[in-house]
Amino acid sequence: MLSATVLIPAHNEEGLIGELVHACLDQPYPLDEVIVVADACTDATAARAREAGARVVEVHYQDKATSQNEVLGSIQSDVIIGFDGDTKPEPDCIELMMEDLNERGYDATCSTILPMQPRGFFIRARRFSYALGRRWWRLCQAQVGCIQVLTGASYAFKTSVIKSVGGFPSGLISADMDATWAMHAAGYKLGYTAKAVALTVDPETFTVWRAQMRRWASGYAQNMAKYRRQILRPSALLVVGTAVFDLFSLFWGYAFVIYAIATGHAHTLFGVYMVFFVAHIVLNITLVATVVGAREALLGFVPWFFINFYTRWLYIAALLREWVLGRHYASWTGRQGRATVITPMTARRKVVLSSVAAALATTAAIFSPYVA
Amino acid sequence: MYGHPPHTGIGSLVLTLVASAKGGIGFLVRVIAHAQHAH
Repeated sequence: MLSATVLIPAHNEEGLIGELVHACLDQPYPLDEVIVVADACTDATAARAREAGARVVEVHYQDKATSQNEVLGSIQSDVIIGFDGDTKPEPDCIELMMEDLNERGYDATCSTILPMQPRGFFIRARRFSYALGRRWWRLCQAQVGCIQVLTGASYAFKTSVIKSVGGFPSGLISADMDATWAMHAAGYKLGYTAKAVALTVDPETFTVWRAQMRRWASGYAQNMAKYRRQILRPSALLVVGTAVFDLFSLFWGYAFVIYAIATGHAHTLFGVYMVFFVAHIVLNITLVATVVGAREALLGFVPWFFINFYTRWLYIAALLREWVLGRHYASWTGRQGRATVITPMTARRKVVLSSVAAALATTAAIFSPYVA
Repeated sequence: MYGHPPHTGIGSLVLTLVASAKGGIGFLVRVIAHAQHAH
Protein backbone atom coordinates (compact mmCIF):
# COMPACT_ATOMS: atom_id res chain seq x y z
CA MET A 1 0.00 0.00 0.00
CA LEU A 2 1.39 3.38 -1.03
CA SER A 3 2.14 5.90 1.72
CA ALA A 4 0.75 9.42 1.39
CA THR A 5 1.36 12.96 2.58
CA VAL A 6 -1.11 15.81 2.16
CA LEU A 7 0.33 19.07 0.81
CA ILE A 8 -1.75 22.24 1.10
CA PRO A 9 -0.50 25.51 -0.39
CA ALA A 10 -2.40 28.36 1.22
CA HIS A 11 -2.54 32.13 1.01
CA ASN A 12 -4.69 33.92 3.59
CA GLU A 13 -7.07 31.03 4.19
CA GLU A 14 -7.57 31.38 7.97
CA GLY A 15 -11.31 30.86 7.61
CA LEU A 16 -11.15 27.40 6.06
CA ILE A 17 -7.68 26.00 6.66
CA GLY A 18 -8.44 24.43 10.06
CA GLU A 19 -11.50 22.65 8.72
CA LEU A 20 -9.48 21.41 5.72
CA VAL A 21 -6.68 20.01 7.89
CA HIS A 22 -9.23 18.24 10.12
CA ALA A 23 -11.01 16.86 7.03
CA CYS A 24 -7.69 15.38 5.85
CA LEU A 25 -6.73 13.93 9.23
CA ASP A 26 -10.19 12.37 9.60
CA GLN A 27 -9.91 10.45 6.30
CA PRO A 28 -9.76 6.66 6.72
CA TYR A 29 -6.61 6.34 4.58
CA PRO A 30 -3.50 6.54 6.82
CA LEU A 31 -1.42 9.67 6.18
CA ASP A 32 2.25 10.25 6.99
CA GLU A 33 1.56 13.93 7.64
CA VAL A 34 -0.35 17.00 6.56
CA ILE A 35 1.84 19.90 5.45
CA VAL A 36 0.50 23.42 5.02
CA VAL A 37 2.70 25.83 3.10
CA ALA A 38 1.53 29.26 4.20
CA ASP A 39 2.65 31.58 1.41
CA ALA A 40 2.87 35.32 2.14
CA CYS A 41 0.00 35.09 4.59
CA THR A 42 -1.00 38.24 6.44
CA ASP A 43 -3.66 36.52 8.53
CA ALA A 44 -3.75 33.60 10.98
CA THR A 45 -3.54 30.82 8.36
CA ALA A 46 -0.34 29.34 9.84
CA ALA A 47 -1.65 29.43 13.42
CA ARG A 48 -5.02 27.87 12.49
CA ALA A 49 -3.25 25.10 10.52
CA ARG A 50 -0.89 24.30 13.43
CA GLU A 51 -3.78 24.19 15.88
CA ALA A 52 -5.55 21.71 13.60
CA GLY A 53 -2.53 19.39 13.56
CA ALA A 54 -0.60 20.24 10.40
CA ARG A 55 3.11 20.82 9.97
CA VAL A 56 3.36 24.40 8.77
CA VAL A 57 6.04 25.89 6.56
CA GLU A 58 5.88 29.66 6.11
CA VAL A 59 7.25 31.14 2.87
CA HIS A 60 6.99 34.44 0.99
CA TYR A 61 6.98 33.54 -2.69
CA GLN A 62 3.43 34.54 -3.66
CA ASP A 63 3.57 31.61 -6.06
CA LYS A 64 1.76 28.33 -5.58
CA ALA A 65 4.18 26.11 -7.50
CA THR A 66 7.30 27.56 -5.87
CA SER A 67 5.80 27.23 -2.41
CA GLN A 68 4.96 23.57 -3.05
CA ASN A 69 8.47 22.93 -4.38
CA GLU A 70 9.84 24.36 -1.14
CA VAL A 71 8.74 21.20 0.71
CA LEU A 72 8.75 18.71 -2.17
CA GLY A 73 12.30 17.56 -1.46
CA SER A 74 11.48 16.75 2.15
CA ILE A 75 8.48 14.51 1.35
CA GLN A 76 9.39 10.83 1.63
CA SER A 77 5.90 9.37 1.10
CA ASP A 78 5.08 7.53 -2.13
CA VAL A 79 2.22 9.89 -2.97
CA ILE A 80 1.48 13.59 -2.54
CA ILE A 81 -2.18 14.43 -2.07
CA GLY A 82 -2.78 18.10 -2.83
CA PHE A 83 -5.65 20.35 -1.87
CA ASP A 84 -6.07 24.06 -2.35
CA GLY A 85 -6.41 26.01 0.88
CA ASP A 86 -10.05 26.77 0.11
CA THR A 87 -11.01 23.18 -0.68
CA LYS A 88 -12.43 20.45 1.53
CA PRO A 89 -12.39 16.73 0.65
CA GLU A 90 -15.40 14.52 1.23
CA PRO A 91 -14.71 11.77 3.83
CA ASP A 92 -13.64 9.11 1.29
CA CYS A 93 -11.89 11.41 -1.21
CA ILE A 94 -8.30 10.43 -0.39
CA GLU A 95 -9.13 6.74 -0.07
CA LEU A 96 -10.75 6.66 -3.52
CA MET A 97 -7.87 8.48 -5.21
CA MET A 98 -5.34 6.21 -3.47
CA GLU A 99 -7.36 3.17 -4.57
CA ASP A 100 -6.84 4.20 -8.18
CA LEU A 101 -3.11 4.66 -7.62
CA ASN A 102 -2.77 1.42 -5.67
CA GLU A 103 -4.94 -0.83 -7.82
CA ARG A 104 -5.30 0.69 -11.29
CA GLY A 105 -1.68 1.64 -11.72
CA TYR A 106 -2.23 5.36 -12.21
CA ASP A 107 0.79 7.58 -11.71
CA ALA A 108 -1.45 10.55 -10.98
CA THR A 109 -5.13 11.27 -10.64
CA CYS A 110 -7.51 13.93 -9.38
CA SER A 111 -10.96 14.03 -7.87
CA THR A 112 -14.21 15.61 -8.94
CA ILE A 113 -14.67 19.18 -7.78
CA LEU A 114 -17.98 20.75 -6.80
CA PRO A 115 -18.72 24.22 -5.41
CA MET A 116 -18.84 24.50 -1.62
CA GLN A 117 -21.41 27.29 -1.61
CA PRO A 118 -25.03 26.16 -1.92
CA ARG A 119 -26.51 28.83 -4.18
CA GLY A 120 -25.89 31.83 -6.42
CA PHE A 121 -25.99 32.46 -10.16
CA PHE A 122 -22.29 31.77 -10.81
CA ILE A 123 -22.18 28.96 -8.24
CA ARG A 124 -25.06 27.07 -9.86
CA ALA A 125 -23.56 27.54 -13.31
CA ARG A 126 -20.22 26.19 -12.06
CA ARG A 127 -21.88 23.26 -10.27
CA PHE A 128 -23.66 22.31 -13.52
CA SER A 129 -20.40 22.54 -15.45
CA TYR A 130 -18.38 20.51 -12.93
CA ALA A 131 -21.10 17.86 -12.72
CA LEU A 132 -21.30 17.59 -16.49
CA GLY A 133 -17.56 17.11 -16.62
CA ARG A 134 -17.73 14.47 -13.89
CA ARG A 135 -20.40 12.48 -15.69
CA TRP A 136 -19.39 13.04 -19.29
CA TRP A 137 -16.38 14.61 -20.91
CA ARG A 138 -13.76 14.08 -18.20
CA LEU A 139 -14.61 10.37 -18.27
CA CYS A 140 -14.18 10.49 -22.04
CA GLN A 141 -10.85 12.27 -21.77
CA ALA A 142 -9.61 9.68 -19.27
CA GLN A 143 -10.95 6.85 -21.44
CA VAL A 144 -8.95 7.98 -24.49
CA GLY A 145 -5.88 8.52 -22.28
CA CYS A 146 -5.65 12.28 -22.30
CA ILE A 147 -7.17 14.02 -19.31
CA GLN A 148 -6.72 17.72 -20.05
CA VAL A 149 -6.05 18.85 -16.52
CA LEU A 150 -5.54 17.17 -13.16
CA THR A 151 -7.13 19.85 -11.05
CA GLY A 152 -4.74 21.48 -8.62
CA ALA A 153 -7.57 21.86 -6.13
CA SER A 154 -7.65 18.12 -5.38
CA TYR A 155 -5.10 15.68 -6.81
CA ALA A 156 -2.88 12.69 -6.01
CA PHE A 157 0.55 12.48 -7.68
CA LYS A 158 3.18 9.83 -7.10
CA THR A 159 6.03 11.76 -5.51
CA SER A 160 8.62 10.23 -7.84
CA VAL A 161 6.53 11.29 -10.84
CA ILE A 162 6.22 14.96 -9.93
CA LYS A 163 9.90 15.02 -8.96
CA SER A 164 10.88 13.44 -12.28
CA VAL A 165 9.25 16.27 -14.26
CA GLY A 166 11.21 18.84 -12.29
CA GLY A 167 8.72 19.47 -9.49
CA PHE A 168 5.62 21.62 -9.64
CA PRO A 169 6.11 23.80 -12.73
CA SER A 170 5.93 27.57 -12.40
CA GLY A 171 6.07 30.23 -15.05
CA LEU A 172 2.69 29.69 -16.68
CA ILE A 173 -0.50 31.12 -15.27
CA SER A 174 -2.23 27.73 -14.96
CA ALA A 175 0.18 25.55 -12.99
CA ASP A 176 -1.99 22.44 -12.62
CA MET A 177 -2.44 22.13 -16.39
CA ASP A 178 1.31 22.65 -16.81
CA ALA A 179 2.02 19.78 -14.41
CA THR A 180 -0.56 17.58 -16.15
CA TRP A 181 0.95 18.05 -19.60
CA ALA A 182 4.50 17.67 -18.28
CA MET A 183 3.43 14.25 -17.00
CA HIS A 184 1.71 13.43 -20.31
CA ALA A 185 4.93 14.38 -22.12
CA ALA A 186 6.94 12.10 -19.84
CA GLY A 187 4.61 9.19 -20.69
CA TYR A 188 2.98 8.66 -17.30
CA LYS A 189 -0.45 7.10 -16.83
CA LEU A 190 -2.91 9.75 -15.70
CA GLY A 191 -6.43 8.97 -14.56
CA TYR A 192 -9.53 10.58 -13.16
CA THR A 193 -11.16 9.37 -9.94
CA ALA A 194 -14.69 10.52 -10.67
CA LYS A 195 -16.26 9.15 -7.48
CA ALA A 196 -13.87 11.07 -5.22
CA VAL A 197 -15.29 14.51 -4.47
CA ALA A 198 -13.83 17.66 -2.97
CA LEU A 199 -15.77 20.86 -2.38
CA THR A 200 -14.12 24.15 -3.23
CA VAL A 201 -14.91 27.83 -2.86
CA ASP A 202 -15.95 29.19 -6.23
CA PRO A 203 -16.41 32.81 -7.33
CA GLU A 204 -19.72 34.34 -6.33
CA THR A 205 -19.53 37.70 -8.10
CA PHE A 206 -19.09 38.59 -11.75
CA THR A 207 -15.84 40.49 -11.13
CA VAL A 208 -14.13 37.59 -9.37
CA TRP A 209 -15.60 35.00 -11.73
CA ARG A 210 -14.39 36.94 -14.78
CA ALA A 211 -10.89 37.35 -13.33
CA GLN A 212 -10.69 33.60 -12.68
CA MET A 213 -12.02 32.72 -16.14
CA ARG A 214 -9.56 35.05 -17.86
CA ARG A 215 -6.74 33.43 -15.92
CA TRP A 216 -7.93 29.93 -16.78
CA ALA A 217 -8.42 30.81 -20.44
CA SER A 218 -5.00 32.44 -20.66
CA GLY A 219 -3.43 29.50 -18.85
CA TYR A 220 -5.03 27.13 -21.35
CA ALA A 221 -3.61 29.11 -24.28
CA GLN A 222 -0.17 29.25 -22.65
CA ASN A 223 -0.12 25.52 -21.96
CA MET A 224 -1.31 24.56 -25.41
CA ALA A 225 1.50 26.69 -26.85
CA LYS A 226 4.10 25.18 -24.52
CA TYR A 227 3.01 21.60 -25.20
CA ARG A 228 2.12 22.00 -28.90
CA ARG A 229 4.21 18.97 -29.86
CA GLN A 230 2.23 16.83 -27.39
CA ILE A 231 -1.04 17.94 -28.99
CA LEU A 232 0.02 16.14 -32.18
CA ARG A 233 -0.46 12.77 -30.44
CA PRO A 234 -3.76 11.24 -31.67
CA SER A 235 -5.47 11.15 -28.26
CA ALA A 236 -4.39 14.72 -27.43
CA LEU A 237 -5.39 15.94 -30.87
CA LEU A 238 -8.81 14.38 -30.37
CA VAL A 239 -9.35 15.90 -26.91
CA VAL A 240 -7.95 19.36 -27.61
CA GLY A 241 -9.27 19.46 -31.17
CA THR A 242 -12.86 18.67 -30.18
CA ALA A 243 -12.72 21.19 -27.31
CA VAL A 244 -11.45 23.96 -29.61
CA PHE A 245 -14.02 22.97 -32.26
CA ASP A 246 -16.80 23.27 -29.68
CA LEU A 247 -15.33 26.58 -28.56
CA PHE A 248 -15.81 28.17 -31.97
CA SER A 249 -18.78 26.18 -33.26
CA LEU A 250 -21.21 27.52 -30.66
CA PHE A 251 -21.19 30.92 -32.35
CA TRP A 252 -21.53 29.43 -35.86
CA GLY A 253 -24.45 27.35 -34.64
CA TYR A 254 -26.40 30.26 -33.21
CA ALA A 255 -25.53 32.46 -36.18
CA PHE A 256 -27.13 29.77 -38.36
CA VAL A 257 -30.23 29.65 -36.14
CA ILE A 258 -30.64 33.43 -36.36
CA TYR A 259 -30.13 33.30 -40.15
CA ALA A 260 -32.67 30.49 -40.56
CA ILE A 261 -35.29 32.25 -38.44
CA ALA A 262 -34.68 35.67 -40.05
CA THR A 263 -34.77 34.48 -43.66
CA GLY A 264 -37.02 31.43 -43.46
CA HIS A 265 -34.40 29.46 -45.43
CA ALA A 266 -32.75 26.13 -44.68
CA HIS A 267 -35.86 24.49 -43.17
CA THR A 268 -34.53 20.94 -43.19
CA LEU A 269 -31.12 21.80 -41.77
CA PHE A 270 -32.77 24.02 -39.16
CA GLY A 271 -35.03 21.13 -38.14
CA VAL A 272 -32.09 18.75 -37.81
CA TYR A 273 -30.19 21.34 -35.79
CA MET A 274 -33.09 21.92 -33.42
CA VAL A 275 -33.51 18.16 -32.80
CA PHE A 276 -29.79 17.96 -32.00
CA PHE A 277 -30.05 21.06 -29.81
CA VAL A 278 -32.99 19.75 -27.74
CA ALA A 279 -31.47 16.27 -27.43
CA HIS A 280 -28.24 17.82 -26.24
CA ILE A 281 -30.04 19.87 -23.57
CA VAL A 282 -31.99 16.86 -22.31
CA LEU A 283 -28.82 14.75 -22.20
CA ASN A 284 -26.88 17.45 -20.34
CA ILE A 285 -29.56 17.98 -17.70
CA THR A 286 -30.05 14.23 -17.24
CA LEU A 287 -26.35 13.57 -16.76
CA VAL A 288 -25.94 16.47 -14.34
CA ALA A 289 -28.99 15.29 -12.38
CA THR A 290 -27.27 11.95 -11.73
CA VAL A 291 -24.50 13.84 -9.92
CA VAL A 292 -26.18 16.70 -8.06
CA GLY A 293 -29.87 15.80 -8.25
CA ALA A 294 -32.68 16.94 -10.54
CA ARG A 295 -33.38 20.20 -8.68
CA GLU A 296 -29.81 21.49 -8.89
CA ALA A 297 -29.56 20.32 -12.50
CA LEU A 298 -32.68 22.26 -13.49
CA LEU A 299 -31.69 25.35 -11.46
CA GLY A 300 -28.18 25.28 -12.85
CA PHE A 301 -29.01 24.83 -16.51
CA VAL A 302 -30.09 28.39 -17.32
CA PRO A 303 -27.10 30.12 -15.63
CA TRP A 304 -24.74 27.60 -17.24
CA PHE A 305 -26.35 28.01 -20.67
CA PHE A 306 -25.97 31.79 -20.72
CA ILE A 307 -22.56 31.92 -19.04
CA ASN A 308 -21.33 29.46 -21.66
CA PHE A 309 -21.46 32.17 -24.32
CA TYR A 310 -19.30 34.57 -22.34
CA THR A 311 -16.97 31.81 -21.17
CA ARG A 312 -16.28 30.81 -24.74
CA TRP A 313 -15.73 34.38 -25.78
CA LEU A 314 -13.17 34.75 -22.96
CA TYR A 315 -11.36 31.64 -24.21
CA ILE A 316 -11.36 32.85 -27.81
CA ALA A 317 -10.14 36.31 -26.73
CA ALA A 318 -7.39 34.69 -24.63
CA LEU A 319 -6.27 32.44 -27.49
CA LEU A 320 -6.03 35.45 -29.84
CA ARG A 321 -4.24 37.61 -27.25
CA GLU A 322 -1.77 34.92 -26.22
CA TRP A 323 -1.09 33.33 -29.61
CA VAL A 324 -1.51 36.20 -32.09
CA LEU A 325 -0.76 39.36 -30.13
CA GLY A 326 1.82 37.65 -27.90
CA ARG A 327 0.47 39.48 -24.86
CA HIS A 328 0.68 37.11 -21.93
CA TYR A 329 -1.43 37.03 -18.81
CA ALA A 330 1.14 37.15 -16.03
CA SER A 331 -0.68 37.85 -12.78
CA TRP A 332 -2.28 35.49 -10.31
CA THR A 333 -5.77 36.74 -9.68
CA GLY A 334 -8.94 35.41 -8.17
CA ARG A 335 -10.64 35.73 -4.82
CA GLN A 336 -7.54 37.39 -3.35
CA GLY A 337 -8.23 40.43 -5.49
CA ARG A 338 -4.74 40.90 -6.93
CA ALA A 339 -4.45 43.12 -9.99
CA THR A 340 -4.40 41.64 -13.47
CA VAL A 341 -1.10 42.05 -15.30
CA ILE A 342 -0.83 41.45 -19.05
CA THR A 343 2.56 41.80 -20.71
CA PRO A 344 2.87 44.33 -23.58
CA MET A 345 3.35 43.28 -27.19
CA THR A 346 7.03 43.05 -28.17
CA ALA A 347 8.44 45.50 -30.72
CA ARG A 348 9.28 42.62 -33.07
CA ARG A 349 5.73 41.29 -32.99
CA LYS A 350 4.37 44.79 -33.62
CA VAL A 351 6.54 45.02 -36.75
CA VAL A 352 5.50 41.55 -37.94
CA LEU A 353 1.77 42.09 -37.35
CA SER A 354 1.89 45.57 -38.91
CA SER A 355 3.68 44.13 -41.95
CA VAL A 356 1.10 41.37 -42.30
CA ALA A 357 -1.75 43.88 -42.00
CA ALA A 358 -0.12 46.16 -44.58
CA ALA A 359 0.42 43.24 -46.97
CA LEU A 360 -3.21 42.14 -46.63
CA ALA A 361 -4.48 45.70 -47.18
CA THR A 362 -2.28 46.13 -50.25
CA THR A 363 -3.39 42.79 -51.69
CA ALA A 364 -7.03 43.70 -51.15
CA ALA A 365 -6.53 47.10 -52.82
CA ILE A 366 -4.84 45.51 -55.86
CA PHE A 367 -7.38 42.76 -56.40
CA SER A 368 -10.63 44.49 -55.38
CA PRO A 369 -11.23 46.06 -58.85
CA TYR A 370 -11.05 42.60 -60.46
CA VAL A 371 -13.38 41.07 -57.88
CA ALA A 372 -15.92 43.86 -58.38
CA MET B 1 -14.50 23.86 -17.02
CA TYR B 2 -11.67 22.62 -14.82
CA GLY B 3 -9.51 25.20 -16.62
CA HIS B 4 -10.16 24.23 -20.19
CA PRO B 5 -12.91 25.22 -22.64
CA PRO B 6 -16.36 23.73 -22.04
CA HIS B 7 -16.72 20.44 -23.87
CA THR B 8 -20.26 20.86 -25.17
CA GLY B 9 -21.41 20.52 -28.75
CA ILE B 10 -20.64 18.34 -31.73
CA GLY B 11 -17.01 18.01 -30.61
CA SER B 12 -18.08 16.48 -27.31
CA LEU B 13 -20.19 13.94 -29.19
CA VAL B 14 -17.24 13.01 -31.40
CA LEU B 15 -15.09 12.57 -28.29
CA THR B 16 -17.82 10.42 -26.73
CA LEU B 17 -18.05 8.21 -29.82
CA VAL B 18 -14.31 7.60 -29.85
CA ALA B 19 -14.22 6.97 -26.08
CA SER B 20 -17.13 4.55 -26.46
CA ALA B 21 -15.44 2.75 -29.34
CA LYS B 22 -12.38 2.37 -27.14
CA GLY B 23 -14.19 1.54 -23.92
CA GLY B 24 -17.06 -0.50 -25.31
CA ILE B 25 -20.58 -0.85 -23.96
CA GLY B 26 -19.30 -0.91 -20.38
CA PHE B 27 -18.00 2.61 -20.72
CA LEU B 28 -21.34 3.96 -21.95
CA VAL B 29 -23.17 2.15 -19.16
CA ARG B 30 -20.84 3.72 -16.58
CA VAL B 31 -21.38 7.17 -18.06
CA ILE B 32 -25.13 7.10 -18.51
CA ALA B 33 -26.67 4.47 -16.26
CA HIS B 34 -24.72 4.51 -12.98
CA ALA B 35 -26.15 7.36 -10.94
CA GLN B 36 -23.52 8.44 -8.42
CA HIS B 37 -25.00 11.11 -6.21
CA ALA B 38 -22.33 13.33 -4.75
CA HIS B 39 -24.72 14.88 -2.29
